[in-house]
Amino acid sequence: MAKLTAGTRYKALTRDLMWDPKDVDFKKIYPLVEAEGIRIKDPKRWEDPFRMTFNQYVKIQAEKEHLHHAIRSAFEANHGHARIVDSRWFEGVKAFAVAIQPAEYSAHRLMAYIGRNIPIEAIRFATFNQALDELRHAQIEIKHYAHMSKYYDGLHAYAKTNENLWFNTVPKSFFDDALTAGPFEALIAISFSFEYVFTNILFLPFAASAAAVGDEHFASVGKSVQSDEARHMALGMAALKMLLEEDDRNIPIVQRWLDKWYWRCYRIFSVIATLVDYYPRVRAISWKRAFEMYVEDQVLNGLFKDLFKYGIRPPRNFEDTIKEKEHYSHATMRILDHYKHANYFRGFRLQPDDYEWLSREYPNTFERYYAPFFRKMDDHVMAVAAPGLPAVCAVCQIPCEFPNPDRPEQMWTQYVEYNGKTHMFCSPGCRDIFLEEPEKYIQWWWPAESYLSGEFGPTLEDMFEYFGFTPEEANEHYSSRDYHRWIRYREELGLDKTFQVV
Amino acid sequence: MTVDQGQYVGMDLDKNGGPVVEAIIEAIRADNPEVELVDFNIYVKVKSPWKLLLRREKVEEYLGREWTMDELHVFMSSYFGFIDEWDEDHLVIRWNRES
Repeated sequence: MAKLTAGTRYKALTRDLMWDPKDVDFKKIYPLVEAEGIRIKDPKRWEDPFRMTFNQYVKIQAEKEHLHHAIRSAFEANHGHARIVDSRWFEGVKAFAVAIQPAEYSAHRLMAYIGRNIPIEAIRFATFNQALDELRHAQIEIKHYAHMSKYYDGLHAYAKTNENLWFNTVPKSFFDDALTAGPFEALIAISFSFEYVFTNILFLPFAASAAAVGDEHFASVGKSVQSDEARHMALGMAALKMLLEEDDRNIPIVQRWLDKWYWRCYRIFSVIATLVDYYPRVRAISWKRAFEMYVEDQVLNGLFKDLFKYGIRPPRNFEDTIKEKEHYSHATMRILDHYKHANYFRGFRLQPDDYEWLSREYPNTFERYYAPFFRKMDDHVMAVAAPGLPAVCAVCQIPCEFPNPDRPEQMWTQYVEYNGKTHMFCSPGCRDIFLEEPEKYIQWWWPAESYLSGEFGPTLEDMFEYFGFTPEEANEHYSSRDYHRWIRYREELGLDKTFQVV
Repeated sequence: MTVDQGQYVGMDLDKNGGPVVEAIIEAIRADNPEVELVDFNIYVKVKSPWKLLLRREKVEEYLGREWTMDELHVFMSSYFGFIDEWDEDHLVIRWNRES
């Protein structure tokens, strides 16, 4: 039998996945397809750029899994956790655990939702593959935390912490926002804005940081996850192009989504900035450099110039993200201060080499605006157990404590009166999103309100029980039992010895 | 004069690929005279102004064995540009604008 070419094989294996229903009204099967005002004339001419079929998919994914689990097993067998350069790294991994892993699972649900509601073969098949990818990501990440959890605090009741912790309202509300949008908006939100514009900055620098500190296991998680992203990016780019080329009336709608989701994705990545700039003792790259390369060069100066011919302009507020790049990780680290005594990942005391690196990488901002704050706090990056509850942004749900990058001594907080109530926002970017859809965002759930109303239980102990960890698992790393356990483990292995050469 | 970084298309390759990734890089070099490599420790970024071509035949030549384009999926961690052409023999990533 002659070998099929990539094009004919794809057609042979995906044809007839769509058909015109005869007995049931098309609109009853796909009730959301026209709800957003998107017009599609000839969806059949659109293809997944990689034209991947299921048999290829399974083969490729199996190879990725073999590669990853070989590295994971070696890391576990060789006590890799004790060999990293500094155990404070694991605090960053913990933050990643509750911020990112649930996002993978939400993305799995979201892809199924898009595939169900958009009756275009190529998109259905690509979202089907991606729905499986996202489950794989969630699982290999959990596997890493399960291993870490044998030795370190914070993630013993992972499902519970995941479900109940206040910190998690940030990524949850982000994905809930996408899941409650129409299917085309969800596609642009996640496949384009999240996957094409921002995931690079999540998995490439973070995996590089993991490798730099010697966490080969997490470097491999990052790489294995990222290896699926090229395919996800291709879906996002193809979907964007399709919407822009099918009908001119789609263009302003798509522009509105690009405006919203660029800022939405950017804000949720604030924690990633601290994981790149603060938690690794040996850094691979700074947030600023990563942002310049992956977002400014590749997307704003690269892709958006290509989209100009459609009448698409760079996303609203993009200048603000550029201005903020020298403040982002420092300001976010300061925000994480709040309620550190009830958080499952710890802060740590900045060491002299940290000050040196941060000053060198951020010559315009760190010494001037942030180092004095940390020094005043006795070098703690999370120093104060804030007596009050922070006011939280009604869109991104992060505390409203980002400095205005034009005047860093002032806060960037914005206020909007709506229906007789004042709403607060962390930035003009989030404020503008609210103004487009105020009825959506006034429904937000604020953990502090639930806490005050007793939803988390009457006592502090009840609250920790509800969150799934104990007060000993919070606070500062170098004075914690995690750090002392790590030191003891190294001593057992003889890793504390230094060898002289004469 | 500063180079317009926005003109580049390219890909990030995972160095776990070892000889396969080295052969992919050599194949890209052979067909794209202005290619540049940027080393990021565990990744290598391969970038070329406006257009990047990768041919299976060239990879096989450097690798010394049969190789399928599907294997690229294991090690191409990211790319930038539009996937303009993709089949069992080659890949083209490009921008659509002139400058």
